[in-house]
Amino acid sequence: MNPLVRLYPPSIRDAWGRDLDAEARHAGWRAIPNLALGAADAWLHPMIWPSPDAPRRRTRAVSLAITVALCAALLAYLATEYGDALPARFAHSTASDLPALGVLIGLLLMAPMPRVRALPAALARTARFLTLPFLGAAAVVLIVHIAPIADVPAPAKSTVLIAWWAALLGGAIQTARLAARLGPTATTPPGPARLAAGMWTVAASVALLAAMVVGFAAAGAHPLALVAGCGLALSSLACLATLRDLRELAGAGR
Amino acid sequence: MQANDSQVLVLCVLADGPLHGYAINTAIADLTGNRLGPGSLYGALTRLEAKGLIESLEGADRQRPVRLTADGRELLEREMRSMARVAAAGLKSLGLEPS
Repeated sequence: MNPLVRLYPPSIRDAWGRDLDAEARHAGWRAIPNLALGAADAWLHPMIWPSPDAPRRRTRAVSLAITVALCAALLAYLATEYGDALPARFAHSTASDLPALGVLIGLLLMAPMPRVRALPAALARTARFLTLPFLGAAAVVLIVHIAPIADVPAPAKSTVLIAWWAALLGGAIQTARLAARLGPTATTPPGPARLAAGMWTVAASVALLAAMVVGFAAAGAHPLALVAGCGLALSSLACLATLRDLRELAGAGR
Repeated sequence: MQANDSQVLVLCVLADGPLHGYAINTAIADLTGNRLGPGSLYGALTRLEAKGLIESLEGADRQRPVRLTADGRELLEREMRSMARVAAAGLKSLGLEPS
């Protein structure tokens, strides 16, 4: 199979993989940009992936919102912690808490309700998915408490920092995967209205944070904050794309 | 409008009957002179299926034929009538007769 076809979401590959591969082979190298853009577009629209029912589509939308929230948290953390990308008076102010609170409210609004009967299996799966990143982060915290990071020699300090970011990134990826895997068997997905309200709240909060970070980046000419701000803006657009899909599918009675 | 250009093209060529992806693109090339990129074609098919405008049939070989649903046919008719009105108005403004 064409490597770019492998980049498509699994349910699209299952439905169209062979046909897509045949078409890509026929088109040759000229198809590369179109295939890559198609794969990126597909990941940004989880609600339209082939699906047996509407609840599964809404579960995917919730997974996307969780992924956006985790990306936003990591980008904001990156811009706050490294290279003084954001002024300390902003990073520790009520203004920076407002978007975080908005994202949290948005996620709560669209939170799937756990099914009591499936709870033990869901908890076991949660433990399986999150134990490794949790242990990684805990190990870093323990090391830093035993030997303050300022006293650690440079190579070891880099290793600790890499381990910290790997644990955070791993935790974010595993949380998003967990939300997608639990699905309608373990949870009752939100209805369309609750999903739309939550998604609008997350989109607006992340857009607000993006505007704040880009504003500081422009004022301080700080490239890292600018990159983080652009990433936040793109994350917000992913939520808006999902809202559009939700509206279109509702309009088509799906 | 509920469908973009590539989706309308796919609906249009499916009006003659069920086709699989490669045949859809060949029919589009016959109609417009250009094949859609694979990402655009299967993006359009995925969206149309999600909206219930097309449905998959069991394929005899590895490929997966699709056909218009009743909703798809209805939407296509609306789109064609709307385009015909716009085209007629445009041609009239240019002082031309429809070909």
